[in-house]
Amino acid sequence: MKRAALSKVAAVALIVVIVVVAVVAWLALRPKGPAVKEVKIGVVLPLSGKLAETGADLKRGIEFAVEEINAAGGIKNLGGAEIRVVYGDSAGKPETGAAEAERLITEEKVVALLGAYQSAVTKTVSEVAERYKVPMLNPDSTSPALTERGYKWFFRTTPHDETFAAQHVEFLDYLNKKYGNLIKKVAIIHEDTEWGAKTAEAWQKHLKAHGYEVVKVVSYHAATVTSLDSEIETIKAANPDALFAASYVSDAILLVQTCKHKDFNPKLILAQDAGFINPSYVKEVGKDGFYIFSREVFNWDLLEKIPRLKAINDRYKAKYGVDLNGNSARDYTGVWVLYYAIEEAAKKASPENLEEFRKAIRDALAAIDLPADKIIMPWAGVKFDSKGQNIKGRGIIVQMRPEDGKYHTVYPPELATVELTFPMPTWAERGG
Amino acid sequence: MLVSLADVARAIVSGVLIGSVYSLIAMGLALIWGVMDIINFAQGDFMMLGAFTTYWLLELAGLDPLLSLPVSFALVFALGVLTQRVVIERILQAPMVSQISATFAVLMMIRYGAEAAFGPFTRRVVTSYTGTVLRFSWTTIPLTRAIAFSISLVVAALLYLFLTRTYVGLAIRATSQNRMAASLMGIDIRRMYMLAFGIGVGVSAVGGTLLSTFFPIYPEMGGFFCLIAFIIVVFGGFGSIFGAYISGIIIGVTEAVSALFISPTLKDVVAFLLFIIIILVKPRGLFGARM
Repeated sequence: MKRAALSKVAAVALIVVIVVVAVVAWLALRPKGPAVKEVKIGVVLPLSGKLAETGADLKRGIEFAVEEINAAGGIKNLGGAEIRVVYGDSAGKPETGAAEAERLITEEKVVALLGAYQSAVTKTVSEVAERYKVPMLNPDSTSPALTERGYKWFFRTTPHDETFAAQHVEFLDYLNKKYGNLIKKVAIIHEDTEWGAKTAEAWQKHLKAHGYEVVKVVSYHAATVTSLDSEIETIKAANPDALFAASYVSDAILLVQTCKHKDFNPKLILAQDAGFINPSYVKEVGKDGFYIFSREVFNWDLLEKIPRLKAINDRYKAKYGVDLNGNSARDYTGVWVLYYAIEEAAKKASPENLEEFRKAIRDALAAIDLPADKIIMPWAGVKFDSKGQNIKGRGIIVQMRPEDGKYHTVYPPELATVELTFPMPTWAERGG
Repeated sequence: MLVSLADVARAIVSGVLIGSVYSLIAMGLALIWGVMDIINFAQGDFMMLGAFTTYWLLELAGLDPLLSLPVSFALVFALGVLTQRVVIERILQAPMVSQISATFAVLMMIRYGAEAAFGPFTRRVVTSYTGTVLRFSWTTIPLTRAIAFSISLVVAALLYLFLTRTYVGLAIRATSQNRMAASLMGIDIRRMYMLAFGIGVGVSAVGGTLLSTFFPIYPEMGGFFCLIAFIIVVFGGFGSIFGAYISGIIIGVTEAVSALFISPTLKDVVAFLLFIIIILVKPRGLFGARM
C-alpha cells in the first residue's frame, strides 16, 4: 500500500514537471512570425427582436465591406492582417447593447466598436466604449444629442436630425432663389414623441434663422390619432406656403388623405423621412403621394450619380439579391472609414499593445479627412469636428414622381436625377 | 384666431363623422357588457379583423367594401360565437381579474396573430370612389365617411329594432335585466350569451369595415379605438346601447370642437376631461339605467 501511494505521488510530480517544462519551453521557443494575423472589430446591432430585419440588412453591409477589404489585401500596414468582425446582438435594447459592448471589449478584445443603429442603444454602447477607452464609430444613428456629450472616443459618420433640419431650410432657400420667392410662411405638423418634437424644434430654429415665418405648429399623438381633420383645418386657416411634416407610417397616409379631402394646397410638402419613405407608405399612398418631398440619406437613383456606387452595388446585388439602401450603405461606409483609420493607426502602434492601438485608432479617426470619391454616400466626404460629428455628411431631398410612383433625387442639384416639380400642383389640377 | 360659424359647423360635421364610427365599436361593447357583465378588451381587435376582412376580400376577390360588409359581420360574428363558447363561457362566474385577463389573452392572440399572418405593415382599402369628395360651400366631406355615417345609423336602427321588436332581442334584454328570471321563463341563457357576444363583436367589425374605407389599417390599430369605446360606454351609461351611440358622437364632436377652440394637440385631453366631469356628476353615465 505504502509503495503504491508513493509511486502515485511520484507520478503526479513527474506530470507537473513535464507540463511546467513544456510551457516554459513553448513560451521561450514559440515562433515570432508575423505579429498579427487579424484585427478584431466589434459590431453591436439589433440582430433579434422587432428590428431583426433591419439588423440583418445592416449586417450585410458590414460583412460586404469587410470581405472587400480583406480581398483587397487586408490591412497593408500590418502585413496584410485581415479584419474580423465579432458581432454582439443588442436585441434592440439599450441595456443588452451595453452588456454586449462590454463583452466585445473585455473578452473579445476588439480594437474598436461599430454600431448600434437605434440612437438609444448607441447611447449606452458608446458609454461603455468611452469608459474602456475604445474608439467607437457610429454610422447610422441620427439623434443630435449623441455628439453633444463631450465624448472623446465617439465618432459619427452619418448626418443627424439637426443637420437634416438645416438642410430642409437650405432647400427652401434654393427653391426661393430658383423659382422666385414663393415661400415665406411655413407650418409644421409633427407626431409628438421625442423624435417628432425634436425635429419640429430644430425646424423652427433654422426657419427663423433664415427669416421664414412659422405660422403654425401642430402636434398629434401617432398611436392614438383617429382623424387629422381639425389639425389640417387649423393649418389651412394659417395659410402657409409650405408644410413640414414629421410622421410615422399610418399617420402619414392619413395626413395626405386629409390634405386632399380638405383641399389644402401648400406649394410644398416636405417630410422628414420616417413614415414618408417607409415601403408600406410608398406602396399604399398611391398617386396622392406624388410631388411630396422627403429627406433621405440615400436613394436608389444615386447609382447614376456616384461612380463608385454603381460597381459596388452590382457586386452587392449579385451576392445578396437586393440593392444597397440607406442602412446597408451607411454601415458599409462606416466599416471603410474605420479601415482607413486602422491603416493610419498601424503606422504608429501595434495591435499587440491593445491600449496603445485603440488610442492610435482614435487619433486617426479624429484626424481623418476623406474626399467624396472615397465613399459611396452622397456626402462631401468624411471629416469629424471636435465633437466627433462628420461635418461633411448631408442628406438628400427626394420627390415622389408621377412617372413611376418612386422617389427621385432632386437636391442637392449636383446629385439630382430629375427636374423637380414646384410648386406642387393643386389637388384640383391633378384631378380625381 | 377668429372662429367663424362655418368653422364650428365644419368641426361638428367632422366630429359627427368620426364619432359615428366610435359609436359602432362602443355599441358592441355596451351590448356585451350589458348582457354578460363582461368587459371585452378585445373589442378593438375584432374591429381590426373586420377591417382586414374587407381588405383581403377586395385584394383577392375584388369585392367592394360595401358588399364585404355582411361577410365581415358574419365572419367576426362566427368568431365571436366561438370565442364565447371556448373562452368567455368558462369565465362568466370567475372573479373580474380572471375575466379581464381572459379577454386580454384573446386580444393578444388576435392582434399578434394578425401581425404574424399579415406582417406589421400599414395598408389601405382603395376603391374607385375612395378619392370622391362631396363639396359644399362651407366644407368638404369624403364620400366614404358620409357612407360610413349613414351605415352606422342604419346599423344602430337595426340593432334597436332587433332588441325591441323581435323575440330573440327581447330575450337578450330579459337576460340582461335578470338572468335567473329569464332562465325560469324558458330562455336559453347560453344561446343568448352567444348571440350577444357574436353581435357585439360583429357590430364592431362593421365599424372596422367602414373605417377601413378612409383610415389606414394595421394589426395594432384596435388599441386606441377600444380605449375610446370604453370611455364612450361608461360615458353613455354602462350597458346602454343607445347611450353608447349618442355618446360616441358627443366624444367625436368634443374632440373636433375643442381642437378648433383650444388646440388640436389637446383634443383628446378635453374629451377625456369631459368624460371625468360627467362621471363625477352622473356616476352612472349620461343615459344611466340599464337597457
